[in-house]
Amino acid sequence: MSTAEPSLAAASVDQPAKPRWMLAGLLTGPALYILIMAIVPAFLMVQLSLAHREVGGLWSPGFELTQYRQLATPLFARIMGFSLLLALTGAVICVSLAFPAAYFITRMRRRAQVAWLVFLLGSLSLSEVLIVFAFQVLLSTSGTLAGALAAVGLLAPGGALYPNFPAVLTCLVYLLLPYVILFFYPALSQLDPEVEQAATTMGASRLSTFTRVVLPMMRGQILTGVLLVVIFTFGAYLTPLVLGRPPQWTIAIHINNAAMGAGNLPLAAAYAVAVVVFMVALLVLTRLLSRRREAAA
Amino acid sequence: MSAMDRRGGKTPSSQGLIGRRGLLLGAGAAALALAAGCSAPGGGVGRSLRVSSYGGNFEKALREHIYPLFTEATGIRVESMPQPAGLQFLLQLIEANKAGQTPMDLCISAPVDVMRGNAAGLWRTYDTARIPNLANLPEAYVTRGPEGVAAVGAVGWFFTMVTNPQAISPTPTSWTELWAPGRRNAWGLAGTGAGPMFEVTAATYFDGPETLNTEAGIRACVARMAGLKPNTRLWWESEGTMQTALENGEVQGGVYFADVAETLIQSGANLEVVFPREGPVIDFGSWCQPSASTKTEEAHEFIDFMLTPQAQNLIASRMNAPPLIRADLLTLDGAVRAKVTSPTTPIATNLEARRLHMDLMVQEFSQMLAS
Repeated sequence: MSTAEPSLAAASVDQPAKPRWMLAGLLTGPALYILIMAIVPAFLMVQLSLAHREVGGLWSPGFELTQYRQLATPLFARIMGFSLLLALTGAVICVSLAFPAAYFITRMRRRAQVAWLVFLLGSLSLSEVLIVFAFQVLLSTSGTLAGALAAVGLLAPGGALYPNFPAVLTCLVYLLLPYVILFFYPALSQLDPEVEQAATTMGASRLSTFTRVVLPMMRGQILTGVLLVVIFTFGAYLTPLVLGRPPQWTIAIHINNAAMGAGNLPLAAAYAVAVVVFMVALLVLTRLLSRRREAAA
Repeated sequence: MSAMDRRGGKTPSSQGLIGRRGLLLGAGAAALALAAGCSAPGGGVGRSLRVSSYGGNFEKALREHIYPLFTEATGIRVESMPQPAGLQFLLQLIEANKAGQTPMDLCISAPVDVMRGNAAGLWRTYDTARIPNLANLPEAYVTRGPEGVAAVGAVGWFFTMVTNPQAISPTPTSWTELWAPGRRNAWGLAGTGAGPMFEVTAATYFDGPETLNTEAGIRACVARMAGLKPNTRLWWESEGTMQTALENGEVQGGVYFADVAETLIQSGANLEVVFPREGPVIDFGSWCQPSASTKTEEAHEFIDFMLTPQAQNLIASRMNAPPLIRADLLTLDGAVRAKVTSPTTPIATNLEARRLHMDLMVQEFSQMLAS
């Protein structure tokens, strides 16, 4: 044993050297891509947000906080508040539908699982534009759903189911649900069935096994799933534009209006910087909270 | 879509297969024109001009009915191409111009973008002595840059009231109908930040578009516009959205482009174009030449031709658009005249208000809509 020890130690020192070079080589591409495609544009966005707005023109290079002062208006607070409300409501609905759905899919037979996964992936290939306009047709006065509801007296004749908040929310949930189910699927399918069997042996019902064993074990995944939907929904553009009224317009629509409507790109950039800061703060906060809970547990 | 621009979305027959086929036909026509140009005796062989205009009906009508006459008269071949509207187009053009390579020699630009282009040093200045027909055009449609005339009015358009006569009867006579208590969720109105609703409100309830020269006037108009919210089902930004809503009966009417509404009526939509007694809002596009284009001679000849009564009559009859030259020079037949001229004095778009107060207008309007 004692003779083998030095060689083992030597091997453990030598071995990582080669993979480290390989790893660096492999990571250069993605790192450069992130640098060029994310960091440079982010820098340009910050630079633009500090530019000087020209009256009667576009903008000129500058270093001023004029546009950031506009973020301290009731309008901006309102838009951010609404965007967050929409994102959180969407996330709660999406996750509470997707998690059980993914759970049941993992408990199916292999062939049924494959069929579901193919179906979900297939639905992702539909264009968002197509889906949103299909919703518009479905919810319109002359649409099937409105017609059916009017026929049974649940909707006034000639009434429509959009534009409003529920229409925006329903469409967003539809758009995001496949992503969230597919996100939960790998983790749930790796869940050891013996854990549940043990719970059942100890007399737990299927429901209480799910709520008291499976759910707590997947807490981290669920939180990440919620954040995933929040980030996606916060930047939603087309759905609230087509299916909502102006009070349901998200920050993305207002960024577009400031940029393309008023031609005030510095303000649009300041909005965008604020959204990024807000999102990063949200992620940091979530991380801190979940760490504290882990420490408490 | 920019504040006072248009053509953000689809126009009838501008989308999909028809549009693409139109482009192919256009390419064919250009090839034919090239062949004709080569054989034309005495016609300046090889002279050509690349002209872009709003894609859809505008570009199609210009290419099919007006440019061939210009080529016939001058021997200059026109390479017509569609252009989008809005700031994105302008920003791309500014960059292309800096690089010394613009895709066209002349384009159409809305007043706000003429102004922005001026500020960015984008446009070439015209030599007015070489455009004798400029005398035909009222001064309001000639825009000056820092060094002289930078934009010459090309074609006008009305924002007016469009209604579905089955739902809205009798035909309204005043813009006040938009505010009427009985019209809940009836309308589709222009939702762009500094759009024509400002002029409509200023002319209907205040002292006309001049009201918008002051911040207090702008705020007062926005406060009035808040009264439109219960009656508005759709605040449209791209004209395609409003077109769909009108065709599907999602809205009973609202504010829309008179020329597009006429085209929809011609293709069977049950709509009525109403010119309220306060007047429709008139806006216009101008011919502008990016400074990187060197075809100044051809551009001057083109603009001069476009200001002839012959060309302007065709703009009216083929594009359903209000011609911009003095009315006494035009020879329009009764039916065409009824479509392209308003019986009431049009409300001019207040460009000065956009120059000075654009951000305030957009911000106040957005705040009003969002609350």
